[in-house]
Amino acid sequence: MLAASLANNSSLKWASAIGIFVLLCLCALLFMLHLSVGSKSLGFDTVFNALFNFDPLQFDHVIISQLRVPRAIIAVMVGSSLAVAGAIMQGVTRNPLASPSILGMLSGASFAIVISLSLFGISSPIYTPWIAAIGALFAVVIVFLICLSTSKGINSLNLTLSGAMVSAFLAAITSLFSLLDEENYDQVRVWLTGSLAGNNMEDITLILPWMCGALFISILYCQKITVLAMGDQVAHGLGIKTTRLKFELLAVVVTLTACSVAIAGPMGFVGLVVPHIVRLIVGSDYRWIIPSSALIGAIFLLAVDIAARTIIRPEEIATGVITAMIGAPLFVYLIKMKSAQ
Amino acid sequence: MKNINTTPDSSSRLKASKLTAAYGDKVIVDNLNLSIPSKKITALIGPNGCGKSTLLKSLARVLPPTDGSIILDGKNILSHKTQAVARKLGFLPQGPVAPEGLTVKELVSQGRFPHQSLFRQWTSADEQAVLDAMSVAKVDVFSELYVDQLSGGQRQRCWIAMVLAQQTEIVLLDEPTTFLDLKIQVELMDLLATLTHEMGRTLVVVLHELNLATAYADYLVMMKDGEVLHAGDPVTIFTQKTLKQVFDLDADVIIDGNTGHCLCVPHYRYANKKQKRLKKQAC
Amino acid sequence: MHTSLLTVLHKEYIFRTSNQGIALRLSTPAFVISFLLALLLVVIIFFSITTGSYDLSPNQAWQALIGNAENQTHQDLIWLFRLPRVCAAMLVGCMMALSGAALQNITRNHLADPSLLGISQGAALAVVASIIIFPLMTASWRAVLALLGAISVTVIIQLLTKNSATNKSIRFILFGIGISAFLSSLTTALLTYGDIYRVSEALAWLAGSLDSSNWPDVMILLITCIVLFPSLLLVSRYMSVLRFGDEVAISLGSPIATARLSLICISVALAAIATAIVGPVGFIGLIAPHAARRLASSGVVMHLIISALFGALLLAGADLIGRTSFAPLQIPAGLLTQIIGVPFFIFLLLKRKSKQS
Repeated sequence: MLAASLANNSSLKWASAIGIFVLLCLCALLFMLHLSVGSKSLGFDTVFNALFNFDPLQFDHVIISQLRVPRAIIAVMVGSSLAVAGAIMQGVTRNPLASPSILGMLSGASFAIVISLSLFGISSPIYTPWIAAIGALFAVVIVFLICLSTSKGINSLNLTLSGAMVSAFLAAITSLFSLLDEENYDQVRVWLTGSLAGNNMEDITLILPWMCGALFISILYCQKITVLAMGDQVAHGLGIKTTRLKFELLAVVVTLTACSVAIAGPMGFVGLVVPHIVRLIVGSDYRWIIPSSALIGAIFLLAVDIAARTIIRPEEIATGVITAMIGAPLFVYLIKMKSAQ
Repeated sequence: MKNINTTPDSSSRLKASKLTAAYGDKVIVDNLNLSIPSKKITALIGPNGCGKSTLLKSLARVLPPTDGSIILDGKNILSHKTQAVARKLGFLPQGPVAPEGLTVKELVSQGRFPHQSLFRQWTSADEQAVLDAMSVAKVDVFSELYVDQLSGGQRQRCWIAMVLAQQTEIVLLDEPTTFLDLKIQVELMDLLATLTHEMGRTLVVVLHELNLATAYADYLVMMKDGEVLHAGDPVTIFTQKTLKQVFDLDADVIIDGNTGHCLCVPHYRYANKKQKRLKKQAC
Repeated sequence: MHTSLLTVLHKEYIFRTSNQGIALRLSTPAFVISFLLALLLVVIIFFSITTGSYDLSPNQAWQALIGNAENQTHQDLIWLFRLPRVCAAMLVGCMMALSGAALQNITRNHLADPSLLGISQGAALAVVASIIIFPLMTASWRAVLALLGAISVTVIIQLLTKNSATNKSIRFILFGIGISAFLSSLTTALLTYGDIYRVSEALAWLAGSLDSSNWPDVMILLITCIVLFPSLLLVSRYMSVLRFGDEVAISLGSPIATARLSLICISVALAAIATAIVGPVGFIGLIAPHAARRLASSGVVMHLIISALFGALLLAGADLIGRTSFAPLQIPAGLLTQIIGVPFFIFLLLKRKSKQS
């Protein structure tokens, strides 16, 4: 597959470039759409004007810039981050079921954030990404340790089951702390279901650089990920230091996940669903999977969020709930496909 | 190809009549007729995939037939109540797995199930049957040990003890000797032979090892592609020609002077060449 | 390896009538353990009645129980709140434990539990839907809906795992987890849709809390137990041969299709109705049968009885701890069982050695 793609270099490159361009356009379109829907529908022209001819006296423009733009930006960033994190995890573990939610990272991150809020009262976005990162790392290490201790070692089913269990446990403890701490619970209740609301631009700008940096590094590493996805021995043979690479990629995944959780709470299943959609369209070459995941992840989350806000207008369903509704059946389907192997 | 109509044995209690058996869409056995002679050991042999296990499972009513029927004591086996059948016919599948933490005595006691009811769960008859079965199968010394702790051969004897405790006249066994040491295989077959000839049971065994089959079977059934090609006395039907026909095997059949059993000696081509070469060198 | 707690009393007691119309075998250790568990239950009942945000002395509690209460507060405290609550806890614990035991037997999977297979979540979804959409429904009708929800999930699982080889594996549990996640998300979505009061009611119930247990609830649970527990005992015989797999079970003369169907119906009904009354409570169906096996090896009937007693103890204990440890705050028992249950599940996962899937 790799050899073939290297051989058909120029024609494939053209096709892929056009593909990326199409995705970029789609993303921009959905971005605009996202800005225009909500409890009050606004036309595209209003949106356009708000973005490029901002008039602080126009109420609609204020809504757009203060409420909707941050939310849309979050959707794009969180969507791409989680999707890329999931893609990397699936490539490195060679397990189609791997994703930040399934391996417990999301629960770990939210657990850490809630604990630090309850016990130390930390809620500033300067610290939350770091705390989330510690939590996510802690969770994924426990999952791997559990897997290693089973007699079968690390195989995809064991990993998935341990991850689900660790997630359930951390979620339960998180609930416990939320209950014990009534006042802070109100703050986090909506956030705990995965919600894109409730953040302003200042908070976002603190976290954004990290996400962009991590995404950039992922794209830099995408060729190495392709090789790693073919197997450790193959990677060794091609001269790649697999252990070091895995640690570096782990750092990237943790950063992406932690930042996403710090902003939007645990948004489950995005990291599972999007890479699969991407692989259907793009194939197995991670040089295309990573950038496409970023774009399709953004598109996915924008679309889901639009749905979340319009299905039972003027109420909104938490976005994390809809990602679960789409993701869980896919999860079941993937398990069934694994049975066939 | 037409099925050989085996000599109908008037004392046969168990018959397959126009049996067609399949797993899903895949038909394994088609329009097969066979009468199992009573109080004898019947051995089913044949190449892999010939349908001998399938036939055995159909006889045991574990696999329902797609067409045709299994006749037990003159009636369709499926028309009997399953508990009543279990009192007449016992079946040991290939490679049975016992749940964890079971002692030998507990395993053997399970064989009494068809004779028990909600309130009659451990009569003195049950107790005696279990003790007898364990002693015949020579696993009474292991009575309180856990089944997992035993060796392969010992475990297999425990399973046989379980089927014995069921106290059925007809016993069906699917490859009871596979994966066991030769010594254990012979011991097990001796046990089965005792059951048949000294205790008057009817045995049907699927065997993989040809020489074991010819040594112990009173009635040999050779199967291929879901049909019975030959059935009868081993000495009569176990010949070079039939071996070639059923197994596609080039072999000689020699009769052991002492016991009168047939033995199959395959033409080991490379080994024979090597022998000739060594002989040539010696001369 | 699998040593029972009381190796000293390694005897069994055989009871036979003169014509052996009745011939039963009772494992003495199992009998002793059951007795001890029952005693512990009485202790828990005692503590449940006397402790709480308003402590009662043993004498005061006893007086209120025999109808000679000191004052109305004591009377209400015991008869309106604490006694029905602990009764509900015990009954639900029993039901979930029995459901789990039956489920583990049918699926031949030691990791099975009604909440892990999505059965509880199916019942929960049905109940939440009924709370939001039909707020005037009574508890008994909710129980019926819960049953329908649970049955639907069971059918889906059966369809997904048609190949019986998957039953024994981790895959089976993962199916359940996926289905549970899906159903939970649907439930949460419903909560967003509803009216705030109904949502609060649904949320409280969803936490798996025995908070608002009253006597009518206890009656429903009791009736269910009275009907289903003996039914389970009637088919318990088949449970012991089903363990060996289909082929051996058939050859031993057990009508496996009927046996399986009965067992699954009873198991699902137990889990669904328990969930309908107090909300989804997880892991009791997983832990209790394992604990029962560890405490005393025995025949199927005693195993069921010990599982039921242990389950009752577990939930009543969890409820007591949840109610009193962080008073006046109440931690739902369902949360506590999850916090205990997951490490236990992981422990079982680590122990799986020879019986690989």
